[in-house]
Parts: sequence; C-alpha cells; structure tokens
Amino acid sequence: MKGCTIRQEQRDTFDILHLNGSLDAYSFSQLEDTLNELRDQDLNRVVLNCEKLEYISSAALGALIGFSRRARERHGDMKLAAVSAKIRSIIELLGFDKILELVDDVDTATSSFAD
Amino acid sequence: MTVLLQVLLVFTCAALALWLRVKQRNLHRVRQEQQRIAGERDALLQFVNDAGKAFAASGDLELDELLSRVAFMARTATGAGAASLHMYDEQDRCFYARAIDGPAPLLVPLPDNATVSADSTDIQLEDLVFDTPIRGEEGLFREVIERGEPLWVTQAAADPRVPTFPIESRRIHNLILAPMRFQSEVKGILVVANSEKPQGFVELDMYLLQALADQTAISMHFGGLNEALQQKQLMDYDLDVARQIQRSLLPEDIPMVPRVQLAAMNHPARQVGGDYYDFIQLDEKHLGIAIADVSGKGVAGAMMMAICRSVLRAQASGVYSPAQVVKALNAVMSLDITEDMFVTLIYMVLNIDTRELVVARAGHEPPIVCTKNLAIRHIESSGVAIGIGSPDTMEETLEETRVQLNAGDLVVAYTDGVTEAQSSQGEEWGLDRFLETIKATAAEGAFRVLQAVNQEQSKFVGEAPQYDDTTLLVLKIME
Repeated sequence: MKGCTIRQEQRDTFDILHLNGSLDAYSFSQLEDTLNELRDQDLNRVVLNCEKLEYISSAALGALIGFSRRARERHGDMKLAAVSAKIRSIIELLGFDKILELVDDVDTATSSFAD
Repeated sequence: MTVLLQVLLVFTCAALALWLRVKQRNLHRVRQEQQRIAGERDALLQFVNDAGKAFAASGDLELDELLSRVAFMARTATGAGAASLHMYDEQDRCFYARAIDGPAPLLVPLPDNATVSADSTDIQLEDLVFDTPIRGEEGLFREVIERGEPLWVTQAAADPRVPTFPIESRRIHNLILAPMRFQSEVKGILVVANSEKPQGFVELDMYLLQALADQTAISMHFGGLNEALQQKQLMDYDLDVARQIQRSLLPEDIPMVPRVQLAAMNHPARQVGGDYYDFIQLDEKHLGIAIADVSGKGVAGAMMMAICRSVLRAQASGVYSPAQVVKALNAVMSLDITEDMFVTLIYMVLNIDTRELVVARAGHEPPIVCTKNLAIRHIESSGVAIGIGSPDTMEETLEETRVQLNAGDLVVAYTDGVTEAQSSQGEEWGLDRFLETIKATAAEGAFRVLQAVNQEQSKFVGEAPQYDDTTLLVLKIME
C-alpha cells in the first residue's frame, strides 16, 4: 500500500492539508503528527483536501473523527473537501457523514468557517 | 708419550667443561621457556574463564555493559596499556568507539576542529576518542577490514599507517587490531595498544584478541536476534490471546428455528480484526441476530468485541426494537470505548411467526435480501457506527427498517472481509461476485449459499494472505 504525502498551505485563518495517496494504519501517523502540531499551535481550523486521496482505511477515518471533535471543542473544526465518490460511500456507510463535515471543494470549506 | 697424554687430558677436560656449560645454558633456557609457557597457559586459562563467564551472562547484559567488559578483558588478557572497541554504524557508515579501557589512543589523525594540549583532562581525551568517527576506508581500519585478519604493528612510530598524537600519554607505540567477524560481516574492531610487558605484545596476544573479537561479534549477533525474537513472541502472544477471546465470543450452536434455515461462519484472518456474530433467543417467537466488526486490532479489538457482545445481550433482553437496543448499546459503549475505535453492527429481530424482520444498521454493510425470483435488494437504513457518535447523534440518526419476508426469501448479513478479500493481483472479490454466488445457490438453501460463498471466494483469493476476518450469516425462510 503506498503512502500519503501531505502539503501544507495556510490561507487566512485556516490551514489546508493537501493529501495525495493512501491513508492506512501505517501512513496515517504522519498526518496525525501534522494535525497534532497544528493543534499545539492552537490552529484549529483545518481543511483536508482529499482530491488526490485514493484510499482511507476505516481506522484512519475513526481517528479523523477524533481530531474533528477536538477541533470543535476549541471552536474550530476539521472538514473534508473534494472526497472521491468511493471514499464518500464508505463514509456514508459508516454514518460518519453525520459527524464529519464533507464539502465539495476547498473554497467552500474555507468560506464555511467564516460563520 | 707423556706429553701427548697430558695434552689429550687437558683437551678432554676443556671439551667436557665446554660441553657441560652448554648443557647448563640449554637447561636454563628450557626452564625459562617452561616458565614462560606455564605463565601463558595460566593467562590463557584465566582469559577463557573470564570470557566464558562474561559471555554466558551476555544474554542478560545490556549491550554497553558487555562491550565494556570486552574492552577490559582485551586489555588485561594481552597486558596492554589500553583497549578500545569500535562498532560499525549502518546509518552513518562509520565506526564509533563504544567502549574503552585505560588511556585509549586516537586511531586516526586528530580532526581539524579538535584541540588538545598538555592540560587536556583524561575525560576530554576520552571524549575525543568516543566522538571521533572512523571510516572503514581510512588508515588502520581499512587494512583490517580488507584482510579480515588481525593487524599487529610493533614499531608504530615508524609506521606511516599509525597517526601521531601531540600528547605523550596517548601516543601509540605498538598495537594490535582484530576485526569482530560474524559470517562475512565485520561488525566492529577491537584494539589494544601500548603493551606493558617487557617483551611487548607476543603472537599469543594476537590470537587471544581475535578470539575475543569473534566471540563478541557472535554474542552481539545473537543478542540482537534475541531481542527481535522476544518482540515477535510478545506480538504473537497478543494475537493468540485476542484470537482466544474472539473464539469464545462466537455462539457454540446455531439455534434451531422452526421453518427457518440458519447458517453462519467466521474465518478469522491473520491479523485479528475482530468480527463476531450472535443469536439471541428473546422468546419463543422472537430471535435476535447480530453481526459486528470492530475497527481496532489485536487484544484491544477483541476486548471491545467482548464488551459489545455482553452489553448487547443485556440490552436486548425483553426488547423487540433493534433501534432501541442499539441506542442503549451505544450509550454504554461510548463510555468504555477508546476514542477513535468503533464497532459497526447490524442487529435485527426476526418474528418467527409473522416472518417480519426488523433491522437496525449502525454503520455496517446493509443486509441483502434475495427473493425466490432472485431479485436482490439491500436493507438500507440510517445509522452511525457504535462508539464514534455521541448518544445524541445516535438518537437522531439511527432508524429501524421493517421487512416482510416470504417463503423462499434468503437474507445475508456479512462483514467487509467477504467482499474486500483480495487476490494476489490485488483485485477485490467484490460485491458483484458475491451477489452472483448468492443468486446461483439461493434455491439450494442457507447452508449451500454459505458453502458456495466460502468456496468461490477462496478460489478467487488463492494463496494471497487475508488481512480481515470473513463473517457471514445466511437465513432462509421455508414454507
């Protein structure tokens, strides 16, 4: 299973993480470190750009929910943008779309933080 | 005649005296040799004894402690002024001194950024040796590694391979280097310098040093293996316990339900993922059926499963609404569950008389209904996996679906290990093949469907390893 690269971008008061590749138990730790770093710097508005995300394991999804919950506790959020149809169907199967916010693209995600 | 006799007598006496003196000198030399050999034999015995003890205990020793002992033994066994042990570092591709005994000299030219003077303390000089890496391509080390044999330098001052050092106490006068060999690998280099014996180092010292070096290499190799083995054993133990827990969770028997065929199977994968299924006889008319998949692996996952099963059974007793049971289950488990772990679950209640099936789906693959006419539908309903959403979220999202089953209908509940099983080419067996197999064998009964799915999937997957459990429940309504 190939890994996942992460490219960080800062836009206004949000941080965008552009993901490319596959997220499973092994490659997830890198994303975890990045998210923890952002949280340590009190940067709680995060958008994951999943346009180039080919696969995400259910365990990784569970962990993302944990991050989004913690971000919300600090008046922020972690949203998923541009998720592929296949990954979306997994998220909906698990019912995680009731907890995680999924948006069509990065721009929609960042503007929705404004409120 | 008298003169001749006298001359002969004197000559004979002189010859005799000479002969005696030679013999005496020989005897003295032989005695000295004897003493020397006896001394060496004692030294050898002492060395073997010490080394034997040290290496016997080496399994319990920390590596650094072992190396310190080896350096000490090297110095004392060879009567050297100092010894140093250098290990090869795979990452930095050079040798680092890992243990020294006595005033060990620097074995390479003094680095440009280092300054030493007559005022340098012992600790500073020691640090210099520890901090200076030595590449295998340079100087003394290169020769030792290339030849794979010990190197003995007697006249170090005149030898171009030996670096000079500004401070007298750390100058090299003579030294022996021995490669620490294991199979074809040179794991390190053991060095003794500046013999304190009047005759200097002897050949025996070289052999002793080499023997010690090799033994150390062997000990280190197997010590390293030991560590890896222990870790693997711990992991295997963890998996074994998990598997045992999981096995104990599965129903021993499949209940006999009038006019309903029931079949179930669970094939655990190599990495314990934690699927389970359960049948709960609520009363004469109602049968509860559960199938679940936990996200965590190993013992943690298996324990979650055990808790889920117990809590579900407790909550299900006397309750005929699956949604109510699942909400109650979630409320309890949200407290216990480690953040990020979750359980996907189908819980359904079959009314044996009316053949109505009520289904609650918590993030799990929807069950499949295959009618007598081989029409396929999925029993969809809204819901979130257990342990991930708050009780409020579950309250809002979880619904139950009522399905009226008829004679000849087949219901299949499964976990994603069934459809996601991969062949060695990395292709998934997939939902389509799964449905085809169901349709092909539905008429022959629940057990036949189970068998066929197992067979077809196994054939497709072949020898490829499986990472997820395969769990399947099949229910057929008879006339």
